[in-house]
Amino acid sequence: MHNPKSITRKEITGTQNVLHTPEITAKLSKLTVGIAGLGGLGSNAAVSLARAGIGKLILIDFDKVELSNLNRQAYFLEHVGMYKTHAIVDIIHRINPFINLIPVRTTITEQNCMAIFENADLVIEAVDGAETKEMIIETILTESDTMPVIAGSGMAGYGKNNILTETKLERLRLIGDDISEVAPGVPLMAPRVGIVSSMQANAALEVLLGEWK
Amino acid sequence: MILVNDKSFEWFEKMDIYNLLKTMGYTLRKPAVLIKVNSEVIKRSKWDDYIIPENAEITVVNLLRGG
Repeated sequence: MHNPKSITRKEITGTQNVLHTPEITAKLSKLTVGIAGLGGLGSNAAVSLARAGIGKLILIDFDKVELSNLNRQAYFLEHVGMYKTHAIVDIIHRINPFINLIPVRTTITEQNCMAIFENADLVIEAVDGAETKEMIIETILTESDTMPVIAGSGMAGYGKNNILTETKLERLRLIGDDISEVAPGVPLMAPRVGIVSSMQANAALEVLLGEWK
Repeated sequence: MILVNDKSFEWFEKMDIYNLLKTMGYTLRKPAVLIKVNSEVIKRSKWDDYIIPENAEITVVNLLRGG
């Protein structure tokens, strides 16, 4: 078994070069992604983008990990009671200790949104509340001329793989099925939330790398 | 006329965002939606004052709880 502390940045980059190509590795390592919300969508998208080799992640959430989060979020039992910002840093640094992580423990508002994401190349909207989703998307699309947003909407329940899609609206990409809202008997569950979070991370790579491969 | 999500709707003078949402069948006065009129995203804070122009091309995107 490897001692994780003996693995160097050069070794991790070398592996990414072999697996992803040196061009993709170099490009992703220079980019910053902001993730608004570290629940089911955000925690899983953050891990996915960390594994892909994004150089810097701005990670925003105000909340603590609860036992009820473990059915779909990336956390472990040992994280229950920790702030999600701290817990996700712990998880990502166990995958790659050399990623630059900026945890921001706050509630996103119309007033602080652009300041938080000022240096991001792209933002993943991953909050729970519909009105907060609207506020984040509206704020970024109206106050920035260039920043892309990848949002999630419609992922509750299970099954129905074939209706999870991506809608493109200029700089906004909206991922989900547009109908499955959380409701009594229609819970958020790991598979569908995980699929949408992976689609968000995948769309982020497509936008950031600028071409489809 | 106005075009909303590629469907034609009747337009009238001083038509506002609330009229638009009612026309589309929304029952909540302020549902969570993203509204783009021509190339401009209309923030919720401007809904009260915004008048929809004739022949506007409008996109309304539903935003559902869950994350």
